[in-house]
Amino acid sequence: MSRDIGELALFGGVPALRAIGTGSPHRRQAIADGLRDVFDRRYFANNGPLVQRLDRSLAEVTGTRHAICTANPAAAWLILGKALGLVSPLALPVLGPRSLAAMTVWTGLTPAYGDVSSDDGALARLFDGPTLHPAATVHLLDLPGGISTAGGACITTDDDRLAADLKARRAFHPTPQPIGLRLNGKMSEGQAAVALAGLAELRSQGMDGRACLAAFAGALGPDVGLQPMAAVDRTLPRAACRLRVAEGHDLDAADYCRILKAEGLPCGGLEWAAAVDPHAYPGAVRARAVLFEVAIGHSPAEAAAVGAFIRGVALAARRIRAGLEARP
Amino acid sequence: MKKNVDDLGLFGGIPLFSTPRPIGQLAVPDIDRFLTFANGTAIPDAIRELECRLAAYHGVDHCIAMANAGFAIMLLMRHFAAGRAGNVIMPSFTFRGLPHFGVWAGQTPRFCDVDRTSHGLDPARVAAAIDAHTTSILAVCNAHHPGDIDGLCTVARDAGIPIFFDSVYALGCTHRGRLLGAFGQAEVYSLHATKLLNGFEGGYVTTSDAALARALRHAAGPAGLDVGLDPLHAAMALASLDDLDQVIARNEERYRTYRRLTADLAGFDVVERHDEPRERYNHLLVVGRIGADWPLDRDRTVALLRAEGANIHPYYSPPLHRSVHCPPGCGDVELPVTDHLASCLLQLPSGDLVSDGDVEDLAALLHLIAAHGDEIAARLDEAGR
Repeated sequence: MSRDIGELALFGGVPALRAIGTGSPHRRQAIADGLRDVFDRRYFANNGPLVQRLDRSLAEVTGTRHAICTANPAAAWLILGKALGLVSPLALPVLGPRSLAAMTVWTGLTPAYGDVSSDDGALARLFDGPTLHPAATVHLLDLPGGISTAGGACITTDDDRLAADLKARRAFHPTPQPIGLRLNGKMSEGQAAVALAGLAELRSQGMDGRACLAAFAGALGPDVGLQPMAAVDRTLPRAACRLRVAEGHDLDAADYCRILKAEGLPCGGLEWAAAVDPHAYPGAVRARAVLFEVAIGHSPAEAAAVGAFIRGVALAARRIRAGLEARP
Repeated sequence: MKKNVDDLGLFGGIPLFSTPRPIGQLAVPDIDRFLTFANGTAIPDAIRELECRLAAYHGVDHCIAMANAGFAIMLLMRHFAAGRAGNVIMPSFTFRGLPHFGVWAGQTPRFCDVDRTSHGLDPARVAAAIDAHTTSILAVCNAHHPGDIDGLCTVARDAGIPIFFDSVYALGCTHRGRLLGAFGQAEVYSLHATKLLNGFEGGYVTTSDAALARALRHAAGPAGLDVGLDPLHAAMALASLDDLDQVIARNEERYRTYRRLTADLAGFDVVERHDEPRERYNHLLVVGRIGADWPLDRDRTVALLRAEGANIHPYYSPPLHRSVHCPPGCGDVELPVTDHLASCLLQLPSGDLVSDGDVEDLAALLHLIAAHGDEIAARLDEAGR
């Protein structure tokens, strides 16, 4: 942005970042080609070849032995809860998708919400002891800058038995042995076609979007009151970056989200997973104030443009704060 | 054309079909029309447009689109239970997912016997099965007959129990001259590719109950389970919607060909539609029935046809109350009509990947089986099959 904060879309200017994160023309063509392929084969659902390929691809990029794609996060969460035999109370981070509370109840479990670390928004360490290794991870696939799957989700795990159990539970296909409660949770071939096109594009940037992240961080620059956070291992590649607002900065995470959304940039902060008393969760209150995520585009050039724009906002933070406070 | 027993695929002959002939609709809309609706994937209006068009099609006030019919049934069961852990009355002669959906909704499935002709719940049996813990009745409308909807609704109303219909196989069918969609408290439909309206995957609920519609939208929305239909699937369903009448017409032709070419077979017939002159059917499924005069039992007949590339199955067999995959605690019931139906019916290849020529080939095969039934049975006995 220029020096004039009146050019910000939030203050009536023209949105500057609408095209970011919408994918390249190449990806749109790849999606169309993938869907035509589905039409030609007439294999639309029920563990089709594209879903199987997506399962394999997501396992590969996350470095896990298995990935199990599902129609939506609810399906993933419900079958995982049953497959793991979880019992109440279930410790959950107080920040997360709003649907988390409903999903937990549907699994027959009582949630016990724990505070999160203001450093990364993750569930704060519950006890001193050996490091915990997750049995499985549920990935949401439609986050800003992520692999769009038209609503899908994915579970990754290194546990062979758990993976087989989950693959059987996500549909009602015959199995030799009874496996307990199942769900209509299979991903469609249409969803898989969209996801594979997005994944191919992200891979073309260097597997995990590192080139984009580097371009973004370079353009953002140091000492502007915003710190890009490194991607977490074994997560899915995303053309997005989580940012942390420094102490004493004039804008908080919610301000950045308002400003950047008005510009047309997919971004988001951390949401309360349930209606709770915020006073009981000081880490979460702090995390919500300082952490947010932005899509950074699908090429280093786009990422650099986003980084430069956010740098401009950060450097003008004091004037923007004054402008926000002056608004009715 | 197969002429003798040695030609049969099960005995080493070349299968009749080089690619499997399925049992699902698998209709394909115009892809350019679909891509126009889809336009990438950023099409939030597609869901609203689909819901409006489907509500108008069914003649109801509300349509709520969801990720699939299973989630729709789960949400309805849970809504009607209103926090109680009770039982849901349902048929055992149906899709294997239904009892699982009941358990997810915190309810115990209570299986009830069905009517011999409609294959739908028998109202008298339902009335006898209702108890103080019954939270809802889930009736199933079949493709050839929607069942005794009036009788079931009367039983439900008299008992003060909500009733809703799984009409997944009955899209486009009528009852008393009216398209299904407005019966009971709600009806559930599927957008799965094997069903009449292809959205890849998906489902929807129809109702004219505004409070129920509001509750379902909340329960399926981001503050609930977040299982709304995705725009991609809505776009596919929209592109398919205009073709619905043509799909039904093709199905009707296929059904009539099956009926005509198997009419002279002793002991085998195609289950007839409930043929009130004013009613309409979608013929999504073509179900064959094995009678006492047929030389082979149902499972041997299925094995013979499968070996020819007909990707068919026994129809709802084993029934859910006898299935090891049924959730525990709901299988201890006697359902004589269900047991009988589950022993003699099979699904025949149907849908857009089955041509009239395929139906002629299958009919000829059935005639071959009828003519050489004793020899086939003897060879199967010899092989221990």
